[in-house]
Amino acid sequence: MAEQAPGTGLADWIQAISQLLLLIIFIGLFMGLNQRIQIYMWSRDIRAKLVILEGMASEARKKTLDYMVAQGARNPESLLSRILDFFVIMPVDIEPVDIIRRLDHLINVRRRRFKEEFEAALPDADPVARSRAETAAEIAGALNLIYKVVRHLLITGEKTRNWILIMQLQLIMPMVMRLADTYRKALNDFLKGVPIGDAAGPIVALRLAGPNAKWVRIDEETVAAETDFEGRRLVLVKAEGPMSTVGRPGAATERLVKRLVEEGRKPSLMITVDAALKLEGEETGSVAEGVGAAIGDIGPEKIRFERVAAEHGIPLRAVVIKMSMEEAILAMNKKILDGVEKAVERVKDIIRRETKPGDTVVVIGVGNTAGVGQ
Amino acid sequence: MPVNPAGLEWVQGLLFIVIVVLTLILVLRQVAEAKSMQGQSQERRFYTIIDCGGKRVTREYREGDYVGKSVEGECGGAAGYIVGIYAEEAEKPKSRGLLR
Repeated sequence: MAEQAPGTGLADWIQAISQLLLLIIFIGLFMGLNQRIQIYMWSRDIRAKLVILEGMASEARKKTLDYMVAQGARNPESLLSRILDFFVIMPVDIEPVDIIRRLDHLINVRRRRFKEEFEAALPDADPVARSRAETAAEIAGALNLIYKVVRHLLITGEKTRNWILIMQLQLIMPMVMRLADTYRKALNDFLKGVPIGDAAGPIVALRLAGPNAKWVRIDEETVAAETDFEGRRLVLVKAEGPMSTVGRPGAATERLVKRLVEEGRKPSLMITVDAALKLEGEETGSVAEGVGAAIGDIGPEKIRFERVAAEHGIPLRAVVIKMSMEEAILAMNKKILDGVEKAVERVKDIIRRETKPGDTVVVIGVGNTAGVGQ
Repeated sequence: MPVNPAGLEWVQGLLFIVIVVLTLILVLRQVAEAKSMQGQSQERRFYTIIDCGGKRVTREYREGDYVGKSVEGECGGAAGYIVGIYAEEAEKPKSRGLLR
């Protein structure tokens, strides 16, 4: 009778267990075990990133609070808690007749509410510091919202065992993390008070006006100046800096053009200058021109440009400086600054080609004026 | 005559080691990814460009600088004004493996 080699009993057990495990896995695959494993792995990955998002939102909140306390804020915690969850309900769009008026009204109410809240909380701070606190609170609110939305989608997907929802969330997480990281960096830049990429438009207006121009407030947080350029009368419009604001360029331009028409100086041309999102592969700082109102507004301001231009038959041109979304909200880089120089020359070319000496031209530099004065 | 499985035991051991190594690599990769998203941001430096009567001078950014601001004493006695402020990223530190 042959004897078994020592150790083969254990090997037999290992082999038997391995085969049993393989059978269980095989049956499990038929019953959707692979799907559950995949959902578990995705959920675990999303949870790990959710912790990072929560950290970013908390950090933003803390930095905003610290800044407000440094500016002598009263009850900053209470104010920030309310601001972080502030919302605006969009107007009914199945009835479009006066939707712009209703939307404009809601946006104005929100703007006034924020202003009054921060004025009450920071009565001794200067307008620049107050505007930075307001912007910082908005960024903290955005990060808070990103965190809450991702958490909501994850919990919903797990509760309903909706693996497609979890898969979609997992696939967009790199983009979400990139967006959140950009907001986190942007908060530092706004608190520092340096110009961001979106300030390209106002800097073009400032450059065209020249260092000796006299800027006058013509609307809420919006200023204008007049200067001469090769026999033409230039009227420049931009938001009032160096506060962090975009002003009301549409409303201001509408009022300005009506005044110029009454004075017998109807503009021969209107040019809007703004930052625009570039396509991947395009160079940051490249300049393009076109037709229309270059403004990233959801409607009320943009439509004012269009209406006043159409009413008086004024050509409406646009010049844009291209950049990525991250570059638009982070501190301005050298490529964008070089793009500003190119945009100034492009605007001058358009004025030379499309107007004659004696004409009035309105140039509107659209964008946030944090770090850009007058 | 029973087959002697002793010669194939090393296969199971090898499989076990391969699975452990693969799991370790996946875990380390996730840790590295999480670390890279935890705000190991690159340091940026800020610069101010001043127009001194047509000549441009660049210096380090100072608190209170803004585009359009008049500056005294930075153009060799003459008045100047700030025409630009920009940020530059410092050089990326070299990667030192999965855990860095």
